[in-house]
Amino acid sequence: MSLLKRQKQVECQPRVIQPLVNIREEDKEVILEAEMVGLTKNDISLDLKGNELTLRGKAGRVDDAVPKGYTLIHKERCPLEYVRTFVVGDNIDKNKIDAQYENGILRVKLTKSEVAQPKKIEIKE
Amino acid sequence: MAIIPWRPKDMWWDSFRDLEAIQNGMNKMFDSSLLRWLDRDSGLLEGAWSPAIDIYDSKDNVMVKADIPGMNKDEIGVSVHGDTLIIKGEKDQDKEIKEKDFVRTERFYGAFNRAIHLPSEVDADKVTASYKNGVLELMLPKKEESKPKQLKIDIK
Repeated sequence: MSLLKRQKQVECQPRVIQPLVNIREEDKEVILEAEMVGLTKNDISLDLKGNELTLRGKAGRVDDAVPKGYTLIHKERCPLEYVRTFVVGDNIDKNKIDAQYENGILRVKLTKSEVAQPKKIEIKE
Repeated sequence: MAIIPWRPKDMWWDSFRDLEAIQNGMNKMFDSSLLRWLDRDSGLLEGAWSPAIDIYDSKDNVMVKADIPGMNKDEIGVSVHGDTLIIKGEKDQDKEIKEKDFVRTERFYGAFNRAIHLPSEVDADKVTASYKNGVLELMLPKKEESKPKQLKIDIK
């Protein structure tokens, strides 16, 4: 019966998924936050090719393996590989993209080019 | 003409397929409500979010790992009642961020709560927790009396 089978969920297939993102646009920059939980800075890569920005998170987390002396009794945290590509608009300065990884969130800051930033025009008397 | 949903031609004759789908759905519902671990794919948890967890067991400890991305340490609450572990927390949107600035929001915000049945009773005073890279790791030492005992039997 499935009841018995599922009570001990220890199998988990590795999957390739798109990380969930929040994107917001401010006056001077566009901020992209991607959920990539359980990785380290070195497991993540960010490539810009033409106007395509690709986020990648390596498959196989450090803690996917069962710790020594322990037996696995329940598993939901499947080994994940993250891949997602975004098209970067022409209003972004391609040389001014930086990224930071903290608490499982990759935060990419894309600075708008000077031309695209809003400007206040002074009115002379 | 009667209005019925369109389906590919080879499925026309198979009217039992609908009944079968209903039966499968019902079975799944009963299964998951009787289970300790609610089936995450059943759709019963849709709209709510709860962290994915791993549970490990050893002679002296129970180890629990949970994926909780993008929180602060003090936004996560952990409590132990006997052999039940409760992880809860609440994630709010940053106050200074204006909603209209968002182009896309896929990430979860709000409160979550998850209760886990542990394989044995643990000592609530000795639980240690760490939060790193979005992963909460709990080390729960077992109570002396619930540890497996090894009896030495002298054979005469």
